[in-house]
Amino acid sequence: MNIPGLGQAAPAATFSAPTIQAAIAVHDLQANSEWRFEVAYGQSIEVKILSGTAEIFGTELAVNHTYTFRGTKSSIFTWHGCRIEVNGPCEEYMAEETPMITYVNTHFALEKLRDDAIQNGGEGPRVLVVGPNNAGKTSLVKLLTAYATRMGRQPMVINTDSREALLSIPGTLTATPFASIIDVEHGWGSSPTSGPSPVPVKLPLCYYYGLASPEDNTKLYKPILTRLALAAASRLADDPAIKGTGMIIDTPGVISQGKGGYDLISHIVSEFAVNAILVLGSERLHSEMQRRFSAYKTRSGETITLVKLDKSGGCVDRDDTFMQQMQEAAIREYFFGDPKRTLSPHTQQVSFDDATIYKIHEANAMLSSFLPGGEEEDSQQIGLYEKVEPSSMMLHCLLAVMYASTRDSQETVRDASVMGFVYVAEVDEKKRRLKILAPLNTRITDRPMIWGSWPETTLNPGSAPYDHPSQPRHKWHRTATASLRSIVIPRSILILMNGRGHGSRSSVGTLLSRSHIACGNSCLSAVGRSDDNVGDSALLGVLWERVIIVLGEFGDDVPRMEQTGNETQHTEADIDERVGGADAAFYPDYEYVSACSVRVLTSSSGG
Amino acid sequence: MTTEFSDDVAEDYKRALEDLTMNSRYEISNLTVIARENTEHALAISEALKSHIKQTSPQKKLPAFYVLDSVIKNVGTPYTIFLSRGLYSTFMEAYALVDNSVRRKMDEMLKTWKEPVPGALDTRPVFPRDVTGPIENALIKARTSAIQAQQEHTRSQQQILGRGRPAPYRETPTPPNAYRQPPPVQQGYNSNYTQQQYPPAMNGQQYGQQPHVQQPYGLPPVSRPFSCRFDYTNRDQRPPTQNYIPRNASAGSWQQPPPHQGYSAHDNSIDELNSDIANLITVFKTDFALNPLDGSIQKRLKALLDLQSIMQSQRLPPQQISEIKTQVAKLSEASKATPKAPKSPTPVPVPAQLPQQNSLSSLLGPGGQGTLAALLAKQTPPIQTRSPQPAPNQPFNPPPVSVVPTPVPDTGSLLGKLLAAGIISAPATSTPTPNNALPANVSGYRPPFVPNPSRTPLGEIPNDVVLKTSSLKIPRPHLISSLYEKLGAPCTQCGRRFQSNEEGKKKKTAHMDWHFRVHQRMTEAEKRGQHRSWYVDELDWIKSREVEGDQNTNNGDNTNGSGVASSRIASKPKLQYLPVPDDPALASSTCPICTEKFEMKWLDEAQEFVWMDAKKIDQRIYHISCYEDVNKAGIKKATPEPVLGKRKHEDDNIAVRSKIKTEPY
Repeated sequence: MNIPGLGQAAPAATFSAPTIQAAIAVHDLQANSEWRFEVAYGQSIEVKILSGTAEIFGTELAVNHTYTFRGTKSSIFTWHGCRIEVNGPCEEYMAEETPMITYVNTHFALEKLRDDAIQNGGEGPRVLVVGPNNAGKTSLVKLLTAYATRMGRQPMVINTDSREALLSIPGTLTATPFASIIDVEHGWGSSPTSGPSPVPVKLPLCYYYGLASPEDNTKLYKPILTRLALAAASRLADDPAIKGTGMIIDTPGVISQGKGGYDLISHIVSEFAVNAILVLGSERLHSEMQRRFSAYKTRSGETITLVKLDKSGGCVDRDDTFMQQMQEAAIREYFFGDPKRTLSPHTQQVSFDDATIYKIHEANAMLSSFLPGGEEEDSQQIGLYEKVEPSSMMLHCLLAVMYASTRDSQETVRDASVMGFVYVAEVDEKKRRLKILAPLNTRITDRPMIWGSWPETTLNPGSAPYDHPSQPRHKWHRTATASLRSIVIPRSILILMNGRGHGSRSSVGTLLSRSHIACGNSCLSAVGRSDDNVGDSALLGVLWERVIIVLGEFGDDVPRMEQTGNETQHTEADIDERVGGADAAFYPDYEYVSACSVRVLTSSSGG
Repeated sequence: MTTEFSDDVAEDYKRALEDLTMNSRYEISNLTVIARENTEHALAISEALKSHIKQTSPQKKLPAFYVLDSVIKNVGTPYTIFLSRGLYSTFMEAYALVDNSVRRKMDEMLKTWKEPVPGALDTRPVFPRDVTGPIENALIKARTSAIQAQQEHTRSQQQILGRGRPAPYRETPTPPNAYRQPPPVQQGYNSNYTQQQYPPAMNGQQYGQQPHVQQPYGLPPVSRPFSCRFDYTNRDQRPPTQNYIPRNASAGSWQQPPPHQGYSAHDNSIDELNSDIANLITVFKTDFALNPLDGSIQKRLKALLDLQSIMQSQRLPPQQISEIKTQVAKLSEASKATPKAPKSPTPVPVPAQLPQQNSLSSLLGPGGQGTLAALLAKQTPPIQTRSPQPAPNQPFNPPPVSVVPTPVPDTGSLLGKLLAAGIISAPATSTPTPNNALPANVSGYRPPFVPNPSRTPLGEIPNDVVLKTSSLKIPRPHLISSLYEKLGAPCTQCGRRFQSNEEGKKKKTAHMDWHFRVHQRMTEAEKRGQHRSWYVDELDWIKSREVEGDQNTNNGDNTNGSGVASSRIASKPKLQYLPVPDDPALASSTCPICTEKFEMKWLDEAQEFVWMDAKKIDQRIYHISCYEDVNKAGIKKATPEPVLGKRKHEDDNIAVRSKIKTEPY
């Protein structure tokens, strides 16, 4: 007999009848089993828990609430069994064997330490999670965080992995207290925005490292870690709720894979006064940790508990493409928000002379590898950063705006926390002006900015026209789509125009639909379309932030458009009229700029 | 009639309304009578009533609404037409201002508006669907939080109303609810059966959860003449102690979902039904635990469990749900027909894990627990061999009483009927199971739909896990329950659970309020555009506190309301802007440092014109950036200069510093 209410209640036969669409699948999960799924970027699935209990990395899911997942590799676990409904394309399978018992017991072991800590007025456990890449470190950290939060604790989550961001952009190291539910649909959730959030926002403290691997520049990485630990410790000392719960520290996989990395682990252990290390998956790492830390005492004289945990069978390798998409998504989300919540960044013009930009040196690792360990001399010669003049090299790069003054020393800038990020959208070397995309419209020129090489310029499609008629059509579409993505700003009007004799309307149509996918519907509030006849004035007159895409070759017509673009005389009424008047309400607060950008994309079918 | 005269009537009416400070049945009925007698001035009176509702203080809004309710139900057209104009704004504006308990009352009232006037021949709803629809839609989001509030209110309401004259209104042709006589099958849901003073037919419904000693307000039906008419002027002669509760209030939705019921109400009633079934299951389970060998209990329990699983996994059309309800009602009704049921001597733990945790008890009213006990008692008689000692952990603990056995509807037959009627499809498991199979299942049936009677505080859970591989490998199911059942019911929106103690409940209420506000604000925010905030800086971050994440949003509402700790929000934006000062002298001031004017900007978050990057220090306004620059430079300058060391007094130092601050740099 089945147990009603637990999901495995009634046999599927009873419920097969009301299936609405073939695409909807209903799965029954037995108790203690896991449903693992992968959703590619650009696709989404909807998951609903019909009955029973279910959790994603420790965060319980609400019954009968539709969750949407995009671009993720994740799993839904159930302690009691559940029935889930899945709508959409994904790779999936069911797993009975999971290390969840060990993981949840780890949580309860930590709980005990926390109880003790609160009784004695001490600090909760500082837990370090180490393991090779793709061993499930971040998932374990998330799980432990979620469980602790559910028990009413407030864990401090430290991310020392610059490859993957936590509530920020890759390249940052963060500390974040968690007191509320983790957003299961978007990684860890969202940092504060000006508007309300459906899931409580989290407040990270960010430091910018700006390189992919800690070993790229340990001279930079270590002091930043030290600073991060200092801030976290200060918060802990100030905040009893967090103090009692302690910290959970995530690490980059690369430091678990070699001697240089082990040194970094030691650094983290000492800086954060770690007293519990969870080793995921690797025997070798475990024995190495044992060797290093068995006799180690923290500053307060605590010994370090070391325990090896099994890697989950659900861990999958994430290839570079996936990682890149992940970074790209994180960056896009920072500026533009998620599908549930559109954010509108601002563009500003910054003169070259006003911008204070430091470039991070990367070569340190290479140089220092020739020197005996701990040698400091060359770092002093080279300095941490190099002050640079804006250049076209920066196009499509991210700059970290620091909480420091432009007159501060490099060390001060390094130790400062990040205020936010800006994206270099345009570099005009003639006029010596940068056009940057900033999350909000405040002056940033009084702050130093750091230019790292990480994240890579993922949003970069380049500004050069794509002029490769020989390219296969789908490839052309891809580059064109990428190009669109780079210049489309929320609530801008995208105008696609088809040049005379260049391809069919279908080209425009395809691009149109693709650009919707590429930019997410949220980024486009309207798409205008004109075919063949450039004189189609209704669309021509609209100077939205800067987005006009011209498909095909226009010859004489292009200058004419630019000319139009340089006029700033347009009144709102004028534009309303051109857009069609009735739609004015649809674009409540458009701005128009003096120049519209015209991109000429040559269609693949060529003439 | 002349407009002038209308105005006079409206003025009088308005004044009378202003005197209505509390929920007084007498005054409300009086006002209704006046409205009835002055239908020629319906427009003026309606307007007066509407404007009164809008203008009066939040505490007085509910009585005013009750007047409106009473008028439309007892007088009807033309008031219905006039009052339905702008009803949405009237209702929603008031709704936004009142507290949760009043909101709940308003919800109940709204529900009754969607149904025909009770007892009337006219089957049309009180207000047309297109009037109540928008309100209903707007409130759907509020529903969950309203339910939360309901629980709190149930308790408080009971305390408030202790006095009141004993039923002075009995002479009125029809007592409040007589004409709202529910179909017999549904009577079982009337709670206070065990303590009722009135014959069921006369008091078929006890609105709200008020002690029934209080005579609920109800007006004579439209179809009957008033036996006594009250003069407008003599209203003061009667103490306004009685309460008016709109007819077919909370229990109304439960009783019979009218065909036109909105989505939320429908859902709601399903939830209630679900929890009701769950409660019945609990009762049966208890019985079963006592009498594991009794086949009939087992059969009924089994049928209920099946029914529950069907309810939880299928979305049944309202029609069928109402039929199931009727059946379930029958089941409990039979038990409640017992005239004197023993009351549970100890308070029954509130089944906090159920999403609609008190739906059954709210349904049953204050006597609900007793009735439940009655049900239990009723269900037990067939078992003569029953041990008088209940199991120690039983949630319900009725002393065994001998009651005259009455025919008890068989749950099994209920299911059978449902199946036969084709309402539900037969689960394959409905075949009888061996006797010994059930106990195992019942005991295994824990999460999260059944209240867990033995709720141990977190601290008492034996937690013997240590960070050692061997210890970590041992499964400990009892610990897992501290992540689920031992916490309260999950939030229906996000799945978050709160502890089931008082503090947890408070948190959950606040949490639901937060959801409601966020939903409201999300749509607004979407329209005006949002942006990512800057990250906070180190010091602010260290000083900030997670106020249980999403609990404390009152302050947050004013700034970004995103549900984060108020302290940090409050601290951060303040640093970035300053509202443009009202004082004209200040408003035209410039930054003393850079001597530039401040840039005025409309800030959506603050909803006012502000100076960005401005800060007021010592009566002067500076650009924050200028100020910080100067200050930093100043401090740096101040400390290393050895000359300053010669100055002995602190005063001098301060003088120097302030000089640096204020003088153009």
